[in-house]
Amino acid sequence: MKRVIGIDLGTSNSCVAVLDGATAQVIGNRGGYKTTPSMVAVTETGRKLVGHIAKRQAITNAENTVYAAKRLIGRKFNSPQVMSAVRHASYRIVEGPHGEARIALRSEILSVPEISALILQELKIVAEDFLGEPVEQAVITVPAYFNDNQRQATKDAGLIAGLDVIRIVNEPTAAAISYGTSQREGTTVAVYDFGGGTFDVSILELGKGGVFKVLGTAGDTFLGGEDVDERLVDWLVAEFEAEHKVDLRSDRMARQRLKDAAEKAKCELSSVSSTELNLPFIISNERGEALHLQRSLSRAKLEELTADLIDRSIDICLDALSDAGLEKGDLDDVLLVGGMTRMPAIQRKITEVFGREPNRSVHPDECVAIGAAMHGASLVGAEKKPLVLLDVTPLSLGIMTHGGGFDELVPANTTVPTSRVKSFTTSRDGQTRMSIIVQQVAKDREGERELLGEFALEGISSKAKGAVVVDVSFAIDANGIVAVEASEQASGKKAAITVEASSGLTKPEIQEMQKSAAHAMDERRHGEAIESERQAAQSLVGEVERLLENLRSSAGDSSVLGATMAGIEAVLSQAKLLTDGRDPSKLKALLPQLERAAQMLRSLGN
Amino acid sequence: MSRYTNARLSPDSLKQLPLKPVEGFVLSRVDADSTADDVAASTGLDAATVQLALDRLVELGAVRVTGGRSQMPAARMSRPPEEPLQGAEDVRAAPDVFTAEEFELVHLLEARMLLANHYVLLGVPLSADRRAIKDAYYELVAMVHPDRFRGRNLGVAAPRVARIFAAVEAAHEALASRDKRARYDDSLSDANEPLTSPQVTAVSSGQGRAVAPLPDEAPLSSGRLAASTSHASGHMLARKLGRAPSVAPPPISSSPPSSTQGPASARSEASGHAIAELRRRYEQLAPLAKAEKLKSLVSQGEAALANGRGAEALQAFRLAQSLDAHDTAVLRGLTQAEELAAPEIGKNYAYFAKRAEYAEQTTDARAFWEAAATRAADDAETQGRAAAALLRLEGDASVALRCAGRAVLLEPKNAVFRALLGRAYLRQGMLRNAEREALAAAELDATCTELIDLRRELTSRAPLE
Repeated sequence: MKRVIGIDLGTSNSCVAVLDGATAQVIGNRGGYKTTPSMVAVTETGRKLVGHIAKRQAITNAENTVYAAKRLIGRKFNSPQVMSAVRHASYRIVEGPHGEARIALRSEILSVPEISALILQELKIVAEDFLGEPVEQAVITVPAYFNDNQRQATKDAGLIAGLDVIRIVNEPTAAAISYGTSQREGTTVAVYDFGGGTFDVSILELGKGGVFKVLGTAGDTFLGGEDVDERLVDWLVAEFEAEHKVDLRSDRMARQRLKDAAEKAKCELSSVSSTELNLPFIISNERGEALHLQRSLSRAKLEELTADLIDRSIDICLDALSDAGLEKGDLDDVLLVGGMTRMPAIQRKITEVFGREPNRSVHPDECVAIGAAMHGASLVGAEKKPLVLLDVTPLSLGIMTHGGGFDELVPANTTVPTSRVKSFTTSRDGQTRMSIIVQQVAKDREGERELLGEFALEGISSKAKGAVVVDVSFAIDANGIVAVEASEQASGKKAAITVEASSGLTKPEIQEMQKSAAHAMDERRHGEAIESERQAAQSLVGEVERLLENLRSSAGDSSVLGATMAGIEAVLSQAKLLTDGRDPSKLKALLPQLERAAQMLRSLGN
Repeated sequence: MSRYTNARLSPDSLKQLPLKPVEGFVLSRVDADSTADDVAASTGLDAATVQLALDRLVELGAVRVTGGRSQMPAARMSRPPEEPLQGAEDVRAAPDVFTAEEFELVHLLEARMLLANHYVLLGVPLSADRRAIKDAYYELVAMVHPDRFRGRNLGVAAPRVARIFAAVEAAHEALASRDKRARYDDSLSDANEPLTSPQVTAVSSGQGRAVAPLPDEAPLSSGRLAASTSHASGHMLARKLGRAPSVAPPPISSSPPSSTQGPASARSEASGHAIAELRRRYEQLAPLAKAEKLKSLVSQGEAALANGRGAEALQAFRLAQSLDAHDTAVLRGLTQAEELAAPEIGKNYAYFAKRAEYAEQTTDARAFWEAAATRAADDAETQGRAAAALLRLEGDASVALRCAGRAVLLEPKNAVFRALLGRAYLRQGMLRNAEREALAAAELDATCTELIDLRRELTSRAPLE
């Protein structure tokens, strides 16, 4: 049976896990790290870099290094969230052909799913190297509060990366799986997931028979560790400006250095109470003098700068709890997930609000990927004790009615999969076309409805107003992805209708991207194969040279060996030429000759 | 009768077959283990045409013949097999779709769904506490979650599983909080439909008699069950049907119908006045749409009545009832459909009751037997079997008495029914009546096993007098 990998596609870091025997484990990448930075860069030569290698060059190549792409996925360019990212990001965000956000890197303009696909592809390779077999199926996690567009775009990213995404799972739910299989039935747990870019909280109940039921979920897709970093950067910039009258934001490289230093300081302050920020030669003033940034930062200052962010997360937590119809006392555990939860202030606050120490038994960076891998194995039947997830839809869904009203079909926190049908009538005599505008609304934000998609039912019977009844049906699958259909009741005629994604990619576009990604992957794999041959040849050349030297010094230029040595030397010089050259494919043919020569020399040497 | 199962050829290979349209149509209606009659019913074609088409489809390999003894049509609930009680093993048809266990489960749950009572569906007593409801829900939901059938071609059975899943979800949701549960319980006891058969009334008054409640009391007292069935299902169906129609977005402009104008401009144009106007118009339109739907349901139901399809008619009229509970045509149709469908539904219940007994689901079995007896009021055999089963399962003795009494009324010369009636009397403590029935039975057939049982029970009871 083919294995399914679980991927936590994070805002700042991503992680891949697979079920190995009875337990799921995280797979380390080539550098030995369990997590891979979600960063993609394009070098001067047009080469694409992903992960640690992209992060290392981020400072010198800030304009062409993408980070936190997850904050842009499935969003419209003119949405307030993207607009704020445009101001802060060091890379260029542009508007795509469907009104969606895209990213300009050197000469290319890439869609956000393509960027994510590069990260997914990297993780796929990590898993394939570990398993020694091709990987085709994956479960990918998304924040619970992701909407339909964002889920769809994440699925598209998987497709582009050549993965069959068998399920999109919510991150807190996945974390609960990795925690829950060892817990007793009937446990109620709150998962507090403070990640790099998003904040999510889900309240789950672990039921009989391996069922994980989400009782309620809430979140903010624009609250995360990145915001904490941003606060620190803002503070540093303000302090620097007060001292030197220079705006550090004016320089992209300075901004990137500041961001890196802020992130590092934040992490350090989880274990120490004070740290030094030291950025020499960060910028020069108008007189050309080099300026240095040097500050010490205490944990207390960090907490002061970010107190409102933490308070916001706690408010969201309490909202989710009340939506689930529970009291604080009903919780058996509060589970901490995401790198930000290492912050002592967060742990303190949770202890204070919930009256109990949070549970830190799962690894905050790895448990999401592990849970996803476990769910994947369960879905394809590789797990003996199957898991059943009953997740909920985070947002209310409905359609816009005549005059701009909103008619809700699926309320927030409805268990998925689900389907709802509602009847509507025409509002004008002789109306033959009805446009269905699908919208979603976050809880308590009636005014901020977001367009999910729209389509029209054409050719309905021309009758008096109100005489034609059209059934609109919403179906939400287990991925949380929405399908909407409309049909005229009387005629039973179902016009062919597809929801045009309002800010996604079209099918042909995805196929095109898939092709080019697969091509790039082949190239890369091919390049790696050649590289390994080149290395094999080089080491053989080295050995042959050494043996030849030994033989010469011990036996001298005896006439018996002369011819043989000359032959070997000919092979050697040819090999050297090829390994230095740009056409290493011929090396393959040469390798056996080199091998023979080495063998002969070894036997002669003895 | 031969049964046919769709071979589910791939669309490509199907296109290669030299099929006539009518054969294609027949093929589309062949499910797992369908009889020619099933197909005829679902296509509306005559039997000869269907048989010809089926033969040709078998010849071409698009349909397989799957034996003649299989007892359970896999896809249909409303059509009970002629002899449903031949044995449990025959029930397991269509193993290529469901495993035997899943098959059992799906049918059990569908039978429970017919009773349209959340407690019955979850298999818990009315008195169950929160914990018991949760456990029952989790156990069921783990078994019917669509993920459990992932990667398998369930064919036409897929929507059935989805329906069951949705029903289990709805049941749990309705009983999830104290408030909701109280509201639901109220709706159960408020349901006082006109009770059409005198037997039901007898049961209701028999409630709370001196019969000691058994430790695992049936989830429903019989009176409630009988009364709540159609109300609650009407309720459920009403929800499925959706609420009253409301006004949908038309192209918002005065230009011809094909024009498309963005929602943004629409929103900006919408003044308070327009909204008020819309509301007024909506209030005019909603009844119109409702009337339209009602009309189509009634005509659908009447057509089914004319064709003798009781279950289908019942469904249509119940839907109609949920739209308008006082429409005379609907009420008349409903009564007729209930009459027409009752034996059919009764047999279904008897069948499921027997299955529940095999599965040792005593609570279900009792509820199903009671439902069967209520429906098949004029079928002596069902009445007798229900009585025997309720005595055997230690169900509500007053219901057993009613059933046995009804059986004797219908067939006074049947020794078995007499003896059953005697046992039922005895169970109620009516010793004199029991003895009288024993004598009557002995006159008719002294060797009847039920009579022997009755005599044994009488002698063991005597010393207590």
